[in-house]
This record gives sequence, C-alpha cells and structure tokens, in this order.
Amino acid sequence: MEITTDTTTPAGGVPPAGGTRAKPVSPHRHISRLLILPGVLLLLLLVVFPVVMEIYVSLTTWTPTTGSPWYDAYQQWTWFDNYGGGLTSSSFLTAVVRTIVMTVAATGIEFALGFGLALLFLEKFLGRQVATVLFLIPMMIVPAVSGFVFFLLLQTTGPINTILSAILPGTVEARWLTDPTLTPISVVLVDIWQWTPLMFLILLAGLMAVPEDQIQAADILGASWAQKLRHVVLPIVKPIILIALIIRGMEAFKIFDAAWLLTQGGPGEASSTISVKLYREAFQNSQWSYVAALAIVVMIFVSVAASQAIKPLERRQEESA
Amino acid sequence: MEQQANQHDEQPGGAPAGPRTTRRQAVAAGAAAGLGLAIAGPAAGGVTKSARRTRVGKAMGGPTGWAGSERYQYPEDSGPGRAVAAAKALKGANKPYQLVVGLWPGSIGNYSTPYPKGATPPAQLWQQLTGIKIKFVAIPNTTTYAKNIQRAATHDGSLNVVQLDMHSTGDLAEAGLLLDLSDYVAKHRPDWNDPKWGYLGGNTTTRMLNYYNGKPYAVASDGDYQIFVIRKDLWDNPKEQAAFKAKYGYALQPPKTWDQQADMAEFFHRPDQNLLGATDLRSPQWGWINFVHRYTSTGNPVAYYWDDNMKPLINGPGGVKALNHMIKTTAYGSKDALSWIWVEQYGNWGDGGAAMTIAFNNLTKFHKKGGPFDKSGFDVGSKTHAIPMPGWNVNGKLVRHTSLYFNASNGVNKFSPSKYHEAAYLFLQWVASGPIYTWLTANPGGYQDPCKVACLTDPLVRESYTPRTMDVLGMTIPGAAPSITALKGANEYINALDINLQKALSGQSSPKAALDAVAASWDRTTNKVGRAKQIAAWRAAKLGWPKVADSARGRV
Repeated sequence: MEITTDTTTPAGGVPPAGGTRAKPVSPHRHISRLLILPGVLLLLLLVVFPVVMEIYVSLTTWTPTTGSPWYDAYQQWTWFDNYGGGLTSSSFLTAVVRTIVMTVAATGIEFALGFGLALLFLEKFLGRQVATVLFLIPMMIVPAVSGFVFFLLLQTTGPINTILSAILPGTVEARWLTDPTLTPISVVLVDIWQWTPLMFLILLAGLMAVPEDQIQAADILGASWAQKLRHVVLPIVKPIILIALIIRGMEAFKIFDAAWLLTQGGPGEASSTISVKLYREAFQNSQWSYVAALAIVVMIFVSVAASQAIKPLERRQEESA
Repeated sequence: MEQQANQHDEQPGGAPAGPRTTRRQAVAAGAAAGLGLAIAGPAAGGVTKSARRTRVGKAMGGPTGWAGSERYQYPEDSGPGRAVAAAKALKGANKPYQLVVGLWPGSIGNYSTPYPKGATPPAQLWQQLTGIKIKFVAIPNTTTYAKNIQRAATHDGSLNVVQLDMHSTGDLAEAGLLLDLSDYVAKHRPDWNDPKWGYLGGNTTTRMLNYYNGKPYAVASDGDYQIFVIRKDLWDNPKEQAAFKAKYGYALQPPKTWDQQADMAEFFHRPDQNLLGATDLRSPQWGWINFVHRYTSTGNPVAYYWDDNMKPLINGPGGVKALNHMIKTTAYGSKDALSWIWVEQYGNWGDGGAAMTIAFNNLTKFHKKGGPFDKSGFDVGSKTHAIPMPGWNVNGKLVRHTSLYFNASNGVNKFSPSKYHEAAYLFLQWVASGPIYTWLTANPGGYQDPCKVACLTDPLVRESYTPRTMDVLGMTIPGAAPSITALKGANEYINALDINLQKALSGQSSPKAALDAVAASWDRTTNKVGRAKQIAAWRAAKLGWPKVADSARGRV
C-alpha cells in the first residue's frame, strides 16, 4: 500500500508548469490523514493546550486559592498586569540577571574545562578508558544527591575549607552556604562539577570526528599545534561546540536543584535563580497566574536567545548547500 | 488497615472489587468483638478512680487488653464516644467501607504501630469499633502544601482526609479543599475545649489550631510548640557561676529575658572547646519562628503582627529590637547558622555542643541516653533542662511567649464523596479526642507531639518527653502566641518575613530596612487577597491569641 501526503499535484493529475514530474495522487489520502490524526491531537494536547492555558491564566489573577476552577479565570481578568508586575519587580529582574551571569559563568567554565579535557583525551595514554569513565560519573549522579553531598562539603568547617586551609596560608573559613557573595559561586561550582563531563563527552566526540588526513596535511605543511587547532580543528568542530554550548546554556539557565538544595536561593535571595523564584511563587505563595506570566516571559527570552545562538549553524548549513 | 503509596488504586470510601459483604461481615464481627473487649477490659485491667466514677451505668470505649489502657478509655457520652456511636450509626450509602487518609509518612506510625507492644493499633481499633476501615496514603511533608494546592486546583477527591500544616488552613479553606466542619462540630460536640481532655489553653488554643475566619476547618493532630532548653550541668557548675557573676554582675540562672539569654550565649560561646553559646535556628524556613518568639513578647500582653486594620506592626520598635537581638546572638552559634536545620542542631546538641537552644519539644524525646543522637555517649539527655521561653520586660512586666509552626492538622476533603464527609469528620473527632490523642502521642513511632491537657499527666507521654518538658509545656502552651496562621496567604506572609530576615541576618540589609520590606510585602499580599476580607479573618484569628503576658508567671 502506498501512502503519501503529497498535496502539490493539482486536481486532475495535470503536471504543474515547469515540467516537473508530479507524484501520483494517493487513493488513500483520507486514510493517511486519519492515521496521523492521533499524533496531531496528542501534540495539540501536550503542547498547544498547556501553552494556551498558561497564556489565558497569565492574563488573570486566578490561583487555586480563589476557590474557582481555572476555566473560570476570566472572571478575574486583568490583561497584562502580571506581566507588568513581573517586569517591574526588582526581585524577579535581579533573579534574571543573576541567572544570566551564573549561566554564562557555568557554561563558559564547563566549556573551557571540557574542551581542555577532550584535547587531552584525544591522545592515547595508559588508563584512558578508565579515566574517561571516572570523568563521566558526576553527570550520572542524581542532582538531589550531589546537592546534598556539596551541602556537607561546603560547610564552613567542612572538607573543602579544610583542604583550602592546607594549601593556602592561614585558616580558610569561607562561608560558602551563607555568605551572600559566595552562595551563587557555590551553586555554579556544583553545576560545573556535575556538567563539565557532558561538555567533555560532546566535545570529545566532535574532536574524534576530525579527519586524520587533514591533520596530517597540516603537519606536512609545518603547522604548529596552535595553528592546527585554530585553522583545522576548530572550524570542523564549531557546530559541535555551538550545540554543546546551547544545550548546556539552556540547561544551566533552568538551574534549580543545586540552588535549592544548597541555599534555598538564600540567604535572602542572594542565590535565587529564575527557577527558584518561580518555584517559590508557585508552590509556596500560590501565585499561579503571576508565575504563568513570568514563565512566558522567560520562555520568550530563552527562545529568542536560542534562535540567535543557532544562527551560525543555519548560516553554515546554507553555505554548504 | 494498610499503608499505600498509590492513592489512585481505590476510590475513597468506595467498596473494593472483591467480596464486599464478606469483608463487611468480618468487620462487623470484629467490631462486636472489639466492643466486647472494650466493655470487659476495664474490669480486667483495673481502672482509675475517675474512670470508675465515669463508668457508673455507662459502657466504656477505647483500647483494652493491656496494662494502663484504661487511661485512654472514655464513656459513650464523650467526644470520642459520640464519634464512635455516630460512625456506627451511619447507615447504607453514608457508611463508607473505608476512608482514605493522607498523612505524612512520619505520622502514620502513630496510628498504625501497636503501642504498647501487643496493643491493637488505633486505626485498627477504629475499624473494630465502627466497621470503617482506614487506608493511609503517605504524602511527603515537604510537598504537602503543593500537593494540597494541586488537589484543590484539580478538585481531586481521592483522599477523604487530607493533612496540612497549620499555616495552610486559610489558603486551603479558600481554595475549597477543606470542608467547613461547623455543622458536624455542633452535632457531635468534640472535646476540644473540655478542661480534662481538651487542648491546653482551652478555647484560645482551639481557635488558634482549628479555626479560620471564625469557622472550624481543621483538626490539629500535632503540638509543635517550641521549647527552650539549657545544659543544666553548665548552669549548675560553681566555677561557671562565679565566672559569670564576675563578668556580668548578676547570678547565672536560667535566662528569663532575651537580654540575659544574649549574655549567657556570649559567656558560653567557646568554639575552641566545641561549645556554642546558642543554636536556635536561623536558616530559610526554619529560622523565622525564632524571630516570632522574640517579637511577640515585645508587647504587653502580646505584640501582634498587624493592627485591627491589617496595618503591619512588625516594622515598629518591637520588631527592630527582636531582630537586633537575633542578629547579635547569631554570632554565638555555628558559623553555618544560616544554613543549619534541625538535623545539624539535634546532632550538635547530642554531642553536648551547645549551651542552649530552641527546638521542637521532641528534642528531649530524642536526646536520651543511647538514643539516636547520643552517638558520642555524652548523654546530653540527663543534662537537658527545659525552661519557659525567655521574654522582654515591657514597662516593668515580664512578657514571655513561646510559639509553634508547621504543626500538622487534618481536614475533610470537600472534593471527596460528600456522603462520606461525616464519617471522615467522625474519624478526626475520635483521633483528636483527649484519650485517643494522648495514646497516640505516647507512641514514639510518629511525629505527633503533646497539645492536650491529658498529655501532661499521662505516664507514657511524660516518660517519652521527660517530666520536666511536659511541666514546661503545661506552663507555656496556654500563653503561646500563634505564628502566622489562620489567614489566606499565610505562607506568602511567612515567605516575605523569612527572606527579609535572611537578608538582615546576612548583612544584606539593616534590620529596619528588612522589616520595612516585610511590611510592604505584607501590604501587597493583603491588598491582593482583599483588605476587607483579610481584616475580618485577622480579627477572627485574634481569638486564638493569648490573653496573658506570661502563662508561666509564678511557676518558674
């Protein structure tokens, strides 16, 4: 049985002008549409409906504590008040800026470490396979567990300060979990520890795909290590680097576990990320419509940022086409 | 009786797919046997004089068959007796086969563990007495509020009885999840205010724990009152006494005021000797209650959070004074004071690592020789001494208030089948009655803490919590000031306070600026909820506030 979804052929089967050959009209067009209908409906249910519902609720002051069902939220219609409230809330805007800074710092350091490690692991050495597995362990640990482990490690009298005291002059008593300046750094450190392996893994796969003959050609031409890296390796792995940065950047932007488990966003809001802020507003303050508005703002922001970040890849694809 | 993690496998109160009649018959037979035991029990086991007096001409209900069970028995015409009789009398469609009760995992043990050994567990006893089975569903306490809000949003009626913390009563009542229990309370007359079996503090406590906006929506199943404890061996040490007097000019006695507490915290703060001055908590979600003790005792008889028109009072001189004290004494605790939760606090106390602290009253239950926190063998239990919460001298008069937070309550889920609402309420009336509540509290297998008059004299409860702690609770609970509760948006008010206290404690803002921010945030919440509505709820909530400045006056 042939199934096609082609709709370019005009009725009657006459080929369009220009002489291109039309595909035959399927006698089972309706069946084919029926067959994909469940998938389309599922997509609508899973994606479109929640988004529409979220937009609807975000334009009201509805919360479950109003006692009315969500579909009656129109009775508390306030247009864009929640959006205005969010965009003028210093608490929210500070959380956005803080999250961007933490995301850039975490992703940047993870990239630097991951790329460095990947370059090291390109060379064969004794125990490379074992070391690779060991490096990957952090990202396999449940974030809740790693958060709790770092909660213990980062106590003022904990092992990290003890180690630092052993290698630095004087006694180190950094208050990693309670000093407003240090708490965002602690959260970023946990993220780096946990997710550098992912960056390493992606970049190692990219580097291993660099054609050996091009490296050899560069060798013959007398290129230095740095020149090979800059003119041969980087142009080839650039798409992989971009994908790795986008994936990690988007994940780091949503950072919640480490921030919540280490400090609950504190002290005060010193390490409160966007996700912590939204969680607090939704599940502690029950401000669901406000959170819906904030979530839409964040979604737009992330979508725009991701589309900008992906543009170099699209350009490259167009060039190669 | 069974514990189930999956709350959706059976309808609440609904019949199972199996042989309903057979099970009912079996339950009925069990109930008859149980009642027979209940009647025969006291005669066999020896009863107290008061029980004998009560029993004249009347059958007794409650646990039987073990020494001391008579203490938890009750006559028919009592809160628990009426609940059992009414539940038995439910007919046909209004009588559920089982009730589905959502509880914190740590609370289930109170109902399901045989205590003392060999006794029928309370939930099973209820089934024997009434023919109504109880099925428990474990709901993690960390997600209780979120789950309840989701339940309200989706009109989820899969639980007949929901558990909540006391701060959520207003939100969940407004969300429609909690049933207004007024009619059932009037009809079945629980013993909440009974001088012998009711809540410590009587009607004031009943109002604080169970009421929102003038109506009963919840039934307290906990007593999370905070106690102040000192290491008595330090206070009794003549060398310490002499050194303290030499330094501060007055005798080393258990602190009665917060100023004395600060002096003593400073005096005993010796981190080089693994001794911290004071370790009452400061961390997010756990520390704000320790501001409440300090704040509510800045006014005579008590300092309120708002005036009668919901104008915040917290940023006044009393609030600043309380917060300044909290900031000052933070220096005499752990360097990680802002991140310590009760786990670190209890562990440190078990090692004898602090001179004093403020904690849940179960601290003395858990810190016994050989107990879970006696890992170092220090036996802090024998040195721990509870005292009333310190206070402030207000115009020459000592004002002292303890407080409580979290504190589990249960409510009837309005979205569960309405024909079973009465049965669900009757179960709550029975388990929260003086005799049964005291029995449950004596059981060390759960979270439930004392809040009933009868708990004070019960030998099992006194043994579990220590006689001293029970005596102090008896003095202080009647004068306890509520934390922020019985208001819609209570959690939002608490969060604003919590976050800004953290900012002040970590030096991000001054005490006055932090409390001004709290007041501004509270005003926003009040306006959002509706000021007129909130004023009415607040005025009703004030019926649950203490009328005396110091309920322990003259007793310590």
